Parts: sequence; C-alpha cells; structure tokens
Amino acid sequence: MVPTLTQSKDAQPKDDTLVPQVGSDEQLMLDYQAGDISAFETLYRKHKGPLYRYFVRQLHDQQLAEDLYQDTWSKVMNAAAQYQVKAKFTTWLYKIAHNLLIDHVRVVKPLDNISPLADEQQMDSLEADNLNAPEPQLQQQQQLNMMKACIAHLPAVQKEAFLLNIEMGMTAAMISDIADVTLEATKSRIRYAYQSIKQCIALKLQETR
Amino acid sequence: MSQQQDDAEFTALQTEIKQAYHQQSMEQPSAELDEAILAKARAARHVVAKQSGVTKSLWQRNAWLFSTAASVILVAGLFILNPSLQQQVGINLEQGLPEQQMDAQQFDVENVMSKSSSETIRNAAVEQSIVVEGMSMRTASPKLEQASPASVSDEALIDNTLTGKMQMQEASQQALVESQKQAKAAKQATAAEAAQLKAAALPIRQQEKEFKLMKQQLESNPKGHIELDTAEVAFARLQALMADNKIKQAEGYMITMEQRFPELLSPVHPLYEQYQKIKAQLTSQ
Repeated sequence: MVPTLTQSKDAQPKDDTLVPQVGSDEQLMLDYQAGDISAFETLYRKHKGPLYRYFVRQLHDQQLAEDLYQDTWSKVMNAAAQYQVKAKFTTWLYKIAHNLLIDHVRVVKPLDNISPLADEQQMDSLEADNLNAPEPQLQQQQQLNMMKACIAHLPAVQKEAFLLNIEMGMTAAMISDIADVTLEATKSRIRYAYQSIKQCIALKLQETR
Repeated sequence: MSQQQDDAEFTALQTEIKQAYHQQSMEQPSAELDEAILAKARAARHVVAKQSGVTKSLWQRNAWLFSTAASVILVAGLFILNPSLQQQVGINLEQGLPEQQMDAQQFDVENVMSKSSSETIRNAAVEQSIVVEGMSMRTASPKLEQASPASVSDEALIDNTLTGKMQMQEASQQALVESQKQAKAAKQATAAEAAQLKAAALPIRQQEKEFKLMKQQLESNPKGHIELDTAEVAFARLQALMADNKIKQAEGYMITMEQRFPELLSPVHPLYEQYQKIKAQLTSQ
C-alpha cells in the first residue's frame, strides 16, 4: 500500500499543498507526472544508492532486497498520477520502502533473528584480500569492515533509524514519521545505534590487539 | 549541564561515525536493475500523463452542463415544431392562453351557430331541444373547466415528463366526447318528449300560425323536399297542402312522409287518427 503523505505528524505541513522549489525532488516528481521522463531519471539517480542500501543492509538477502527495491520504484510510478506535494519526497519514498519491508519480511521473520552471515563472510574475504595492502590503509579498511559488521549486528529498528539518518541525513522527526513511532522513541533508537556501533568497534579493536 | 555535555558528546560521535561510514565502499544497484526500472518508468509515463487528467477534453470537463443544455433545447424544439404538444400541455405559446378554455368556448359558440343555421324552421320543440342541449353543454362544461385549471397549473411544469401531459389531454378529450354524446342523447330525448307534448296540447292558434309558415315555406320550396325533423311539422305541411286543395302534391308528400316518419302509421302515435283521415281523403279521390 502506498502511504499517503497526510499521515505524517511532525513532518506534516500546515498547508495542504506545498510549493516545490525548482529542481527539488517534489518538482521532479511533478515533472514526471506531466510526462517528463528525464525528471524521473534524475530523481532515480539521486535516490537509488541510499534506497538500495536501505534494503540490502537490513535484509542480508540480495535477491529479496532487489525485489523490494524494484517494487518501491514501481509503486512510485503507479502513484505518480495522484501525487500531490504535501511533504518531502524522501519521506514519502522511504515510507513506501518501510511498508514493503514490514509486509514482506517482518511479518514472516523478525529481522532481529537474522544472522548477518553474508556480512561476516564478506568481511572475512575483505580481510584476506587486504593482507597484501600497506599497514595504514589496512588499519582503515579493518575499521570500516568492523563498522559494517557492527551495523549488521544492530537491532532492526535501530538499524533502520541509523541508516535513514546516516544515508539521507534525515532528522528524528522524519524517521519517526516513516517508521510510525513517536519522536522520543526514534531519538532513542538513533542514539543507541551510534553508541552501540562505537562500543562494537572499540570491542573489536581490542580483540584484534 | 550534563545533558548539554551528553549532546555534545553524541554530536561528536555522530560526526566521527558518519565520516567513517561514508569512506567505505557503497553498494549500488546493478546496471541491469537500473535499466529495468527506467524502462518501466518510460512505459508508465503515458499512463501517468493520462491519469493525471492533463488532457481532459472540454466535453468531459463540462459534461453536466452540455447534457442539461441539450435536454432543454430538445424539449423546446419539440414544443415549437409540434403544435399538438402545445395542446397537450394546454398552452398556446403564441397567445399565452390556456388552449382548452378557448376550445370549450368555441365549441359552445360553434354548436349554437351550426344548429341555428341548419334549422330552417323554428319549432318550439327544436328550440327546447337547443335549450336543453345548451343546458347539457353547461352541465358538461364544468368538466372542461375542471380540466382547464389543471392544464393552467401545469404551465409551471412544462419541462416535466410528457407522459403526464398526454394523460391529461386524453382525459380532457374523453370529457369532450362524453359531453357531446350526452348532448346528443339529451337532444333526442327532449325532442321526442317535446313532440308528444306539442302534439297533445298544441293550441289551435299556434297550429294556424304553423300552417301559414308552412305555406310560405312551401311556396319558397316548390320541389316539396321535406327538410323537417319532426313528423308534426310534416303533418302540418300536409294539412296545409290539403287546405290549399293541392291533391297531387299532397299525395306525393304523404308518400314521402310515410317513408321518413313511419311512426305515423303506428296507432300509438298521437297524430295517427288525423293522418289516417287525410290519407283516406287522398286515397278515396
């Protein structure tokens, strides 16, 4: 189900419709609504990476992540005819993605129970590849891999809040609107996620020494 | 104080992790996936443009307005082109008067005029029948007057369905036919009654006057055609011929009378005895 933007609480504008700025995501969407395919291409290139990682880093299933990623854009296309600028495009886009994630994954299998084998395997392989690299670069690469592994170990709700914040720079208000939780709960999730990653990296660094 | 310190520490932590996060390699969708999604977007573009209503035609936007105008023009055109519809509604568009009231008045006038012009001899019985007919028409006229206010009230509902108007017109026509039938029946009944009364109690002076009138009319009508409606008048004319000693004419007239008024041969008829006497006079000669 494509969410309506009027459901938003904190991010909901006072007016029913906003006047989009030239070149903004909302204006690009309106241009696509009018039949401008280049507007959609611009919009797609801008959001494809973060949205793709939103699915890939939460699901650990490449095929399922790609399917949901494709479904999200299909819903955007189908809803384009009725699109009205009532909130930020990114909020609307990730609301669609969040709902698809809930519908396809969390109902069947809680994400917290998924073991991030793929990331660990990837990390191990990267470590093996970096054996021949210079020492400073090796340390940096090790830290990045540790971060990736720590992100993968986050609880699902914290991971989603963290990814939305770090990938798109979304505020707690926007994330709470997407995930349909209170603002305070979202702030807590973001804070715990960052602190957990820091502790996880520190722990892994101690283990390596 | 500690809250601000916590916030500052968290902001520093956030910045540090963000920098580290964006240094790592970022997963991207494959080129095939990109192409598949963009191809779908290109295919859906036409649908999106159509559904958004940009190309909605003038007819679709003002469908209600156009349909209403077309209906009004159609009804008005029907009324203008077909005068019978105006009658059905009960309105004369040119004069703005209810048609049925005029028809009723014209019907009365024309009826009286036609009767008065067609009757060459003023008979008391006929006059009485006309009076009775007028009365019967007056008794029938309230039906028309009942129908006409209904038609006048329907003026405000011209644009309503035509079926109701058709029914009203049929009802008014039926009322007219019924009134005509009643008038004819009343005329016949009153004529017979008046003839019997007249024949029984006709004063002698009046008979003499009628004889004179018959003579004048016979003179003006030498062919001897019987243009009368009653046996009494014909018998008076026969008596006049006998009085004038016009035997041959009286014989011919008698044959015509018997053909036209066979009731004279009935013993029940009040003029039977008198007629038989004259007949015997004529046949004996």
